[in-house]
Amino acid sequence: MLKTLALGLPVGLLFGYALQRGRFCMYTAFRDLLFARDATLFRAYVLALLVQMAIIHGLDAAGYLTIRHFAFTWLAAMVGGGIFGVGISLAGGCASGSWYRMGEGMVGSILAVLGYGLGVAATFWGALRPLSAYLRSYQAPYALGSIQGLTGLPKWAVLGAFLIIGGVWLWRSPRPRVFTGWGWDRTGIAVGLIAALAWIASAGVDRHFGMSFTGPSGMVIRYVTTGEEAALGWGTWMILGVPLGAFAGAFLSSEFKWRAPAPDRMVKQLIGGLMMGFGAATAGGCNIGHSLTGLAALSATSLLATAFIILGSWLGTYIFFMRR
Amino acid sequence: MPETITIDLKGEICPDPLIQAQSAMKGAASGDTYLIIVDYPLAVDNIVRWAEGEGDSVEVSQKGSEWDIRIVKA
Repeated sequence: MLKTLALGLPVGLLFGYALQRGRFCMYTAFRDLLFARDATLFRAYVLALLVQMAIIHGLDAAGYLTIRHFAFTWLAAMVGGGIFGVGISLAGGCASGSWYRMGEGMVGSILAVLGYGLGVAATFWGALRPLSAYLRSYQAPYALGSIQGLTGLPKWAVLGAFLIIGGVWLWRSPRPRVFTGWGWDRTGIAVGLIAALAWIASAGVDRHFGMSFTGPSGMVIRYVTTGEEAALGWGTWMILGVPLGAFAGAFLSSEFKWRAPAPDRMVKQLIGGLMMGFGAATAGGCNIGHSLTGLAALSATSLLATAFIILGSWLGTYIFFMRR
Repeated sequence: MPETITIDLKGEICPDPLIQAQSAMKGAASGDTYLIIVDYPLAVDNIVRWAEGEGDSVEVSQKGSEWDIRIVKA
């Protein structure tokens, strides 16, 4: 257990610090694409994805890591991803965004995270499990679950296309001046390096995956309510580090303050958190497990889930915030 | 000196700060001056990027864990 803690908690601390300094919220990244015509945070996300992709596939080729893609649960990825996407609009932040904002003193994010963990636990082990299991029963053959398997292209060509097209786009992108925190380029590199570090640290405890928030959010609830030591895995320690690292970032830059939106807004955050929990547990990942880690591993399921997370976040923003 | 219109967005969280700033400044005339107050770190540069994208001139000052964003409409 000490080894798991020692390999997990520091990664979470670093991640929380970088998320806070970079204002790395993927709900904002996705939403601004459509509603503000601003791709600044989305660029941070794409850069993080590419940095991680290059490192982990390099380590995989050298034999240091084992990268596997997800089962191709296409219906669950679409429905779960969409529900998660609507959920993050109500919660006022994505999975990682809600976790790190607790460290800035945002009381509403505490409710969102509690709802998220409860939603995950109910979907993995509780009342919502049958519905999720039904959605996950629609599976395509495993070999089709990677982007290379689905397209029939060689893996190096898929990786090359991501790195070259994404790299050229980022290289030509503007770097707007920044008033608070980090610019998108620094944020993307930091998040990408920490995401790659998550794979390396995980391998030390025989966990062959990178950064993830959905399983760990459920495991925190499971450990607290059952005391099972097995629930204190790498991810659980990592995720507990996130708000602490974010607190350090906020405190050192005088940005920490306990603050809360109006009561009705906080109820929306709780409901959004529950939707995030069911959606992500059904889809097999959130904006981190699928959009950052799974997509870097070239899972087709993650690409599909990410598309529906984005669509869901746009739909939720339009219905609940733009029409007033 | 035109009057400054204050928009207090303290306590607001995503996506409200940007959406409310956008809707409050809808129909603003050139030279109109706004003071937007936020206490949500992410919202500062989020609002600034939008305003600068519109061509407006922007100044930001931090007062503890709150920020004043002054925008002069282009």
